[in-house]
Amino acid sequence: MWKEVLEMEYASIKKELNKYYLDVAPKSAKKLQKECFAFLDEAAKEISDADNFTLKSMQYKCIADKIEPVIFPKLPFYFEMGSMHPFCDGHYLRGMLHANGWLIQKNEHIFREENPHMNKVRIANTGEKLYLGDEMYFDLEHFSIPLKKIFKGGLRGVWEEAKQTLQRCETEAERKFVLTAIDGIEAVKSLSEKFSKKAEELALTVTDESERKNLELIKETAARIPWEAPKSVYEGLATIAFMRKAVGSLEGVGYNTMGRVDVLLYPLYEEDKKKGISDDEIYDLVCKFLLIWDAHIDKVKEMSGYADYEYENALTLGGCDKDGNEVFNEITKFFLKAHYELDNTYPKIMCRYSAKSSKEYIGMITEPILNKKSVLLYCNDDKVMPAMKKHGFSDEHIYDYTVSGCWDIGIDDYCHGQCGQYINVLRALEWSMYFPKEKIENCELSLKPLENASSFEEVYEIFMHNLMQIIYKKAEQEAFGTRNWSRISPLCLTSALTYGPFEKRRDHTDGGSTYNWEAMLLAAVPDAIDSLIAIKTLCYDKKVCTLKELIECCRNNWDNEVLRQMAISAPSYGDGSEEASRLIAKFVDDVYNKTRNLPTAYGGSWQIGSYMYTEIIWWGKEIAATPNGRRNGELISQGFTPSRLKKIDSVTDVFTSLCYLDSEKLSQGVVINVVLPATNMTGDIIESFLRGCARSNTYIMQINCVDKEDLLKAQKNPENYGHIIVRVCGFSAQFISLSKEYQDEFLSRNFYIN
Amino acid sequence: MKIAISNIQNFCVHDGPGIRTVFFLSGCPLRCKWCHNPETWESSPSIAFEKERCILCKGCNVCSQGVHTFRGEHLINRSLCKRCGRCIENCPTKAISFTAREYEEREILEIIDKQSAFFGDVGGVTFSGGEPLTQWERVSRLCKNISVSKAVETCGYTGSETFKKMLSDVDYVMMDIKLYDESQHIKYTGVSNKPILENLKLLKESGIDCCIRTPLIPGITDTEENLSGIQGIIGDLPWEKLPYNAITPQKYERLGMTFSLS
Repeated sequence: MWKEVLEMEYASIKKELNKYYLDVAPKSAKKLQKECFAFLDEAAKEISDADNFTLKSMQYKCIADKIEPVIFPKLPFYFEMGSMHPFCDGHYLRGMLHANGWLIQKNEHIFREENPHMNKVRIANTGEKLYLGDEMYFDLEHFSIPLKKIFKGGLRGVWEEAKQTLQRCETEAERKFVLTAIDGIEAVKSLSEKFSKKAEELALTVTDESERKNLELIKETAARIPWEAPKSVYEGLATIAFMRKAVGSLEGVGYNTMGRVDVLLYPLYEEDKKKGISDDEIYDLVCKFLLIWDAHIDKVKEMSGYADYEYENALTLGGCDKDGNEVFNEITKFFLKAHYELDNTYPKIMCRYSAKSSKEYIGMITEPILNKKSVLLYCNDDKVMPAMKKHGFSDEHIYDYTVSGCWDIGIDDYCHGQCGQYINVLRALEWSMYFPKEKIENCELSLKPLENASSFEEVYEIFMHNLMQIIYKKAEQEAFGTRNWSRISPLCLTSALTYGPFEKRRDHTDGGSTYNWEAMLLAAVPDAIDSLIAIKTLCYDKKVCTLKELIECCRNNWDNEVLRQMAISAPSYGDGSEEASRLIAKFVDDVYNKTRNLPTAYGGSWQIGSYMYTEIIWWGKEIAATPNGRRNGELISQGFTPSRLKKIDSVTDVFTSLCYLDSEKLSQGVVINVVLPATNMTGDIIESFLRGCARSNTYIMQINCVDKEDLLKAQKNPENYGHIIVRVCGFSAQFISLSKEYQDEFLSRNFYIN
Repeated sequence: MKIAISNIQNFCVHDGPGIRTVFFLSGCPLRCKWCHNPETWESSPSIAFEKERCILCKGCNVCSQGVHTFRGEHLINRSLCKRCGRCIENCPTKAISFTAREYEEREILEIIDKQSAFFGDVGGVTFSGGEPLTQWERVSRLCKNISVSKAVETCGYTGSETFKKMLSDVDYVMMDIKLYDESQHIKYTGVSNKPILENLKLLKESGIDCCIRTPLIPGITDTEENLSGIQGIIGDLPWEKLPYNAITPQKYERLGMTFSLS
């Protein structure tokens, strides 16, 4: 009975929040943006020589001043500021203009004007899909709210640290950075105080007793938290929710992770237990906290565009502590249980695990898969942590890594993500083959044509030469752009919360964080490797055609079906072939070795990984036929998931191929898509599978457990299949809510048999 | 020492506890009319041809024996085949294949080793078929070098010494009891069930983890009389009744055979 009452209460809260986010939030964010832009434009005119620190301070103060807190009395939390589009986490990309984008928009011309020629080439190269390039040179999207300092000493502690840092400043630039950080901290403080005041006013008007209690609680808590460190699970959750929205509203970059909540909250849980607070009360709070994020999106609306209906909001569970012990506590359990019971898709929950994870934990994190709800991501500590170590991360930080965005690996309190930097490996091969001279010249690339290669060794050498030319170009532009970042919009508030910038008295955008790495994410590698093997097999081993003939056949979109079938039948990555497995391992070695000395803007290392977002569709459309049998415009492979062209029966064959890799060279992770059959799948089987994956060279897995027949039926009778949630590209969605194009992408994946 | 194997399938979850790699060994003394795996009947390889994969490229014409001819369609005369494999090498779509290949012990152990990460505490390898006991002497030697769980799927039609040896080599036995009545057994499988029932006694006496399996073939094995007869002889051994999956005649056509049980 009590459970039913709670379920009704949660459903009612979700409905109210959902209505706000779909109907009100977009308009509210736009209104605030206009007001702030008008005010700041005027203010900036009056101080025409203002530097960007001064301007950033103005932005912090203006936004904090103009935000009208939105309180939902059914919830005990305070977070909504009416400042951001519901699908956006604060970034300034893809037309998402918020109040926080004022300074970025004002200064982004610096990118273009500082080196117009480089910018022109960059636009040409990204336009040709040689690599990913958003409006900016660098990634504005994969930030995390650093919460450790706040959980330790509250914002007050950060503020005091800033004041002390101010004493140590030696230059005017250092002083300005710290002073702006202080303004950011104080803006956050003023926002929480606004919530307190607003709750006090509302409490006088509501008649519902439970709502009045919530408002009284908010009034009292927001006056203290997050200025003071949280002392209970409730205050901890309130801190996370509030900071997520506050920093996102003020800063101008996308904050899409809430960190390791079970690590942050567990000490507070122990305190609550000492005070006699029951598990039921805490679980209720976790449920209410999780409802907020799932309500940001209309889950039944069709998902069809690039990123038009996905909400980047993630938290990390599990993993290990600094001594290597498993993190699996009551908070972990509450979050997982609540996520399932509430039927949530968001926030994205990223589960760290290892071969040593407890049976209970593995059981909990695999439970939704068995119920055809693929709402979690699986990240293998056994491979990620050694790879991070090899890439220069310290032992004392590695254990604390988080997974943000779709699957982006970072360490929240010490650095920020640069994860959107995809390199189109298949395009490198395609251009090597077709050699479009005019485009190559426009992109200012010094490429070599492939067609005259006299041996496979020469083919590989030319391909690698061309790929590296593209990588070098991207790296040069990336370093240039990042070096200019602080001149566009420093992130002083974020810097204040991060370890490193106060010690160095430099903003994060100026290389102040503990780690300043860059990511290089290799896209469509399996298609490229299979294409190389097909060239080797057909042109040099079996000699059924010359390389020129093969290229001509591809140019004609595979007008020779016999040759195409021979190409598809050649050994390929993931089919258990040793030849393909060795080649992909060599490829990883070569890219790793050739990028070790590549400079980054602030001395961090290049982190290599392999994944991409929905570019598997969009980039695929623009890549012509390739020697692996792929026709013009067909889909490309995700991460190190085998190509879709060859049916591979056994999922474990894929992992035996991965065992050839030197896994420590891939610190940014490699994504593997797995679709297991639903029939006869049990918890024990999934557990063995997951542990086996941990022992193999897997990093990040999107696991679905669904039968193709069910999905085909769902296409015909969607009304009966709303319960199937599939993992798409770093996000989960109802299968029936995907557009036909997305559904067909899923259906083209390898459905392994058992 | 080589073992003739028709197929190897990893990540199997229906053939014994946990995740298993299943070796489908070639050769079977039975000719069950409902058999789903006719390609495993013979221990020596023959040509399998998947018509639906053939693109009529005539690449298989490299055959000097005239096995492959084209008269509007691709025709195969298996009696002429010398098993040189050249047509298979030359087939771009893999429409032609051999029904079996001989594997060295080393190759088999390598396959098991690569898969072992997924076996967990209960998974392992399963020897199936065909009838694995037809090659048990060799499999028995192989088993001594396999450290993971070993299971067998058998029809039980073998001599008692071989059966006893198998019981001492493996950890888990799945044994088919298809028909209780001997004359019915002969009619539908081609052999008597007497050796099978004798071996069933050995299985019971051994105390090994096991499961009796009965495929439910409509009108043949799923009759009340047959099932109660089987129940009587297996006693309290675990018993799994396998639902009948309609077989596609194409599987027989691929081998130039006709599926007689319509």
